[in-house]
Amino acid sequence: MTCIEARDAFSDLYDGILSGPALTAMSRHLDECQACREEWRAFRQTVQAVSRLGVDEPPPEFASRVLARIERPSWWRRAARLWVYPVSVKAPLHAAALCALLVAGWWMLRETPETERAARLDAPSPVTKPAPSPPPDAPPPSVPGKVGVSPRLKAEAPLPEPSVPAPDAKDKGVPETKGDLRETLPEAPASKAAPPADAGRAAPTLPGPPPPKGGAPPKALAKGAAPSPAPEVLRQSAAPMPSPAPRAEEMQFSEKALPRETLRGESAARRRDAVEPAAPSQAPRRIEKPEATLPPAGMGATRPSASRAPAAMPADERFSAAATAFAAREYAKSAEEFQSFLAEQPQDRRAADARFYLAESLFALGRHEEAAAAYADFLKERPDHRQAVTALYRQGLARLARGDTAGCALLKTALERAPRAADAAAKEALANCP
Amino acid sequence: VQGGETEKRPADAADPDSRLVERAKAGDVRAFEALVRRYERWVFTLALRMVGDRGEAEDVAQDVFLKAYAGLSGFRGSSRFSTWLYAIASHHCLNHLAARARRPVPESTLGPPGSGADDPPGPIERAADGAPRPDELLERQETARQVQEALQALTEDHRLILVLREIQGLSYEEIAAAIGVEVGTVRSRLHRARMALKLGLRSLMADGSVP
Repeated sequence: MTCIEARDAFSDLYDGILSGPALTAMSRHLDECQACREEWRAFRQTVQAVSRLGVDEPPPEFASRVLARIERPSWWRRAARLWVYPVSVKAPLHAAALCALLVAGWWMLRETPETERAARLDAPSPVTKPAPSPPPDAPPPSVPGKVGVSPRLKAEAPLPEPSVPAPDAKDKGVPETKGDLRETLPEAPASKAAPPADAGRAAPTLPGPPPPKGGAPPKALAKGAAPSPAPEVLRQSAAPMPSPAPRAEEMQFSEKALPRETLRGESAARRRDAVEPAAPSQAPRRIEKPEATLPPAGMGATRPSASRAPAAMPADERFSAAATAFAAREYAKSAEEFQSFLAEQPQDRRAADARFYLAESLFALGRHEEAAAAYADFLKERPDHRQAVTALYRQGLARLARGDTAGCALLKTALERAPRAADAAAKEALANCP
Repeated sequence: VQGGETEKRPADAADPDSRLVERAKAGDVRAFEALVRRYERWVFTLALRMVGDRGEAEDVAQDVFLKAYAGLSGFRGSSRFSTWLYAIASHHCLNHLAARARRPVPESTLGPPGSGADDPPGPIERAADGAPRPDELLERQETARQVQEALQALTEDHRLILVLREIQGLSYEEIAAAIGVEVGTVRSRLHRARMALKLGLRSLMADGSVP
């Protein structure tokens, strides 16, 4: 066997197709030829390196998006469908609309004195003049059919006058009612409800790391977290709902918390755009009243459900509670909830996300040692996760915050992978590195 | 570690998807959703390795499933659903790349794939025995990035056949059915693709950094 023949048969050898005399000849050649042995080693390493790339995880909400596209035809298709309604549908609709217009017009003219008077005043009407001897054969030429109505018009003319104060009375009534509402619902709930909504709007443009305790406020979550002020309502309604709502929330959630927008980039933005914002929570009024009794925002106010942490919750509910707490920057609660989620649902598909956000919560609380360990756990389980670089970066910061210079290497490597993530915090931390 | 062998292919007996496929053909969208969930990783991986960008790969993978859904009534069951889906996915990826090549490329997206800060690291082998240390982890990520870069430098046909064989773990016959060529062609093309990739990775190998 020549070297060329041997190298041509590398694939057959690798895939186990080679057998019999060909296999014997190949082994003998590889035993004798150093160069071909080297080539064979390189060949094997190449193929194995590709295999090691492994299977990639699509975004968690991938299937939901596919289904949404299947169930909801594109806008132009829907518009086209409207446009080309069959005549059998269109004709009766158009006829009905025309009839309705005609009837409405006739009714307005007949029942509304102002309209009738305006129609009459357009033409010089003899009715308004106290003519002593109106010529009986001279009706107004423009509206001949309405001569007979003129006495009635006179009688009804004052009617619009008393009707004018009516709206005024209503106008007065409205502020009174509003005043009452304001008294019963103080400002606190409004201002408390505001941050999540604002946060939701701000999120897409301001992703960022949760700062350590006492630092600047962290950048807020994405839109999916906006309905968070209604945890009780959410829990009741979300529990039997299998997938879409929690998944949407999870998606929004998992895209937060990169050190800067640079770590995430255009593709994430595109993914976010592809998902409709979560509908605002229903029954907001049910929430306002209980919250009105809470201390004002910024004083460690907790939600009604914060104090209760039942032993076991459904997975969606637990994750949602954890995500809601994280979105509301209640990191102590979110850490606790994510920990419970991981204890209860170690096999859940969101376990990696939960691990990452547990680490983020601990980091935000300034519990750097636990945070570093949690990031390491997360990386151990999911080294290929899309937040892996972020986790490295933060693990580096957390270690450096504890004076552990091993964080330098982590931080530098993370920044090599994502140079644009080099923010002030990173630079300051690196300044302490050897 | 040749991990993931069990998840590369469905059971080898009768088509394990036939029941779901029948229900989906009868208009059961939930059954199709189950199929999507079963194959989303395969299709997404194929798309990602072919186009090299996660966002773009997601769009491509979604389109593949939409095409499959639209063409489900034409699926007669003469092959497995997975093979049929792979055929759709393979052709769609190639068509997408051809269409992309005809479009002018915006400057911001130029540059080697996987080198951007926005590009999350590709999946790497998960260590079977405990966690890799962070430095090992990063080294492997770097290797994965270079392998992906070398893959991107190949022709689309070579890249496709390598992904189908080495990452998705398809047999020669399945690859032949998916890309519509003879088994002998698969064999020779696969060998050429492997040799081309070996050349591309030669400098890397010289460092001995490929594990």
